[in-house]
Amino acid sequence: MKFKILWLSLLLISAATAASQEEIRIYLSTTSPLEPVYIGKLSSDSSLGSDYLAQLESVINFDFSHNGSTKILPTNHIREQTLSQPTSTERFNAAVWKSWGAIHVLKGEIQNKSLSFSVFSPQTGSLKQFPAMTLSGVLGRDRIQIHRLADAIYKTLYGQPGVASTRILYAAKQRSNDKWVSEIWSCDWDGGNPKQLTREGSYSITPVFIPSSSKYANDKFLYVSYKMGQPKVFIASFNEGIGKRLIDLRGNQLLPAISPQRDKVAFICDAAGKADGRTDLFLQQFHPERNEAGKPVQLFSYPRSTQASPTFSPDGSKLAFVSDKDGAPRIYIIPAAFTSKRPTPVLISKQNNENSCPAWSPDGKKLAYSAKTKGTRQIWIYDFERKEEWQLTDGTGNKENPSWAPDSKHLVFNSTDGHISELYIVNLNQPDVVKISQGAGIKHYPAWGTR
Amino acid sequence: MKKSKVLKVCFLSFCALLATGCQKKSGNIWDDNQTGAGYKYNEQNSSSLWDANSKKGDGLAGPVDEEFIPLNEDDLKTQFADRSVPQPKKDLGEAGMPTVDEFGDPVGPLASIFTPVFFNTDEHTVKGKEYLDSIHRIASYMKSHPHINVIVEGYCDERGPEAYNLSLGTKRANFVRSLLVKEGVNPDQLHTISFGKEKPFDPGHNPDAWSKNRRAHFRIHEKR
Repeated sequence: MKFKILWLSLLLISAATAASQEEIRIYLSTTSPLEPVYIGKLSSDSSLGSDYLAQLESVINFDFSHNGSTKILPTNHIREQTLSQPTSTERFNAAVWKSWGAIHVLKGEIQNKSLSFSVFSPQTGSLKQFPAMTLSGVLGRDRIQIHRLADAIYKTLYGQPGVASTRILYAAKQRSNDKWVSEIWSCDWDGGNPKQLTREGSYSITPVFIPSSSKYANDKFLYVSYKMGQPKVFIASFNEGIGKRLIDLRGNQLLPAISPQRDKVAFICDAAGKADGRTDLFLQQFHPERNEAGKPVQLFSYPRSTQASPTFSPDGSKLAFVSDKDGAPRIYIIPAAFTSKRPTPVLISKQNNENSCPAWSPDGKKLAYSAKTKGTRQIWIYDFERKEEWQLTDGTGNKENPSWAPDSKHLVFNSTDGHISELYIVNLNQPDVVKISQGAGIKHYPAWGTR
Repeated sequence: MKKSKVLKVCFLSFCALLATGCQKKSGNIWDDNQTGAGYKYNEQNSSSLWDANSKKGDGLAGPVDEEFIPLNEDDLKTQFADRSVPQPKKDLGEAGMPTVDEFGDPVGPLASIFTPVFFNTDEHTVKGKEYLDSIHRIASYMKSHPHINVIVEGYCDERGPEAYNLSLGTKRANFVRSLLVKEGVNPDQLHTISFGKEKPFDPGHNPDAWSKNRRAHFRIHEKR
């Protein structure tokens, strides 16, 4: 039955996406069924217009269509009538909603711009009221509130935090006055509220969130900028448009990564200055609040070889990275320890010849990366528990730079056909791929924020 | 045995020069080594620029002023240690070094000297005698014009993965820099910048465009 559902889903997805610019197909190794949720239309006094209500509805509908646990049931007149009944008992009749196949029912009401939500679960009969929140009437701000509410509801229903209120960083580049300019942007998980973060008029790429800790909010990020000429790693807060230099080394510094404990930075650098021009993997201690960084350590170097794209394990003790030391670029794992003794990298990617940009899932169980598959770059997953690689995406478009959401279930990546590059999200329990990037420019190097 | 003694003397002299803050005009990491049998330069197969045999007993490893903690020298030796071509002492825009905006494409007669060096696919080494002639020409000009500073920019074509190509472009640019330093150019006159596949010269999506984009490109600043 599961295979039938999966096969049907794949066919439907193929048909639905056939008319779109790129046709991205998803293969999933296992899925659990999505729980049907009915989201009633927002009922409101005249404090907000119907167009505005429709925009708010599309935000919450998106949040419950792509969370990997629920799917939304189509609205219809009879169900809407039921939810408009005068009493709670009439609105939330367990037998009626069970017969309509709803596992949960969501209903929002607005009075004087104050939005309150009821969540009813017919199987248990539980009815929960969520605290009212005041809407501003400004979509950018209200979307954030809706996302937070969606996550609060998700947590109540599934016991796990949702990802609807997380943000995604990315680089967007455009031609300006006959030269390429690239700035760092952020957006909501659905691509809404795109906000330009750097305003340096230079070329900035590969942003990385600095994770929050129990003491400090995640209000800063790292990125690489060419404003000094050579690419260097900078640190900036979300409020400033101009970053400060982080790593004091000569040469080119690229592809920074930060440990989840926010105590180490890994990056690629040619400061060692070898005649073959090789690029090395470096590791450095890092204290964002004390504005300190220890002396960088040359962690891995290999003659005539290119290293790239370090990513930390959740406990910060290991790094996965790319090296072409054995010919084509492959993914290896190495201890992330401060020692001058060369550690031995262990090969992970064995199926495909050309592999790049690994990302370690926050739960430590998987690596997502890009691998050239029958001529096109696809997103693959390495499963540490099963010790096997499997292909996640298929179809046209070269897909690279996967980044995990905090739930270790959702991924964002960029896909390009050579002319344009856009951002897409997907989760490991749903074959739907959703384009989230908006506006002009080539969007790439996404990084999914931590909570 | 005699060879390693020569190398030790050279290394100590080099350190002494740096300690006194004195710079030889030709930036001569290579001067004292070139006549030794330390390595062979084979014009027919320029992809193996440094013969594997030359790497034994090589004492030149690691940064000279310890800006970072290098890998253990023994480990580097067992993995075929390579010669040092240190990064320039000053970053672009730092105390006396021009800023990146003060560099421009070579024009006029310089354009025919500083021609781009093109690479084959997935290689960071250059092939073919004409490109080596180009390196000779550039090196010759730079040695006779010590006030010139050059940025070597490394570019890749669009077909590779973009993150990896940022690193690959670095290797390409640095390799060309190494060739120039080997010819006697002062390493402090040369900075490298990798753009990977971020800023293609030719926006086309065909082999012709790709071969134009796989290059090391030169930008010049000449003090007047």
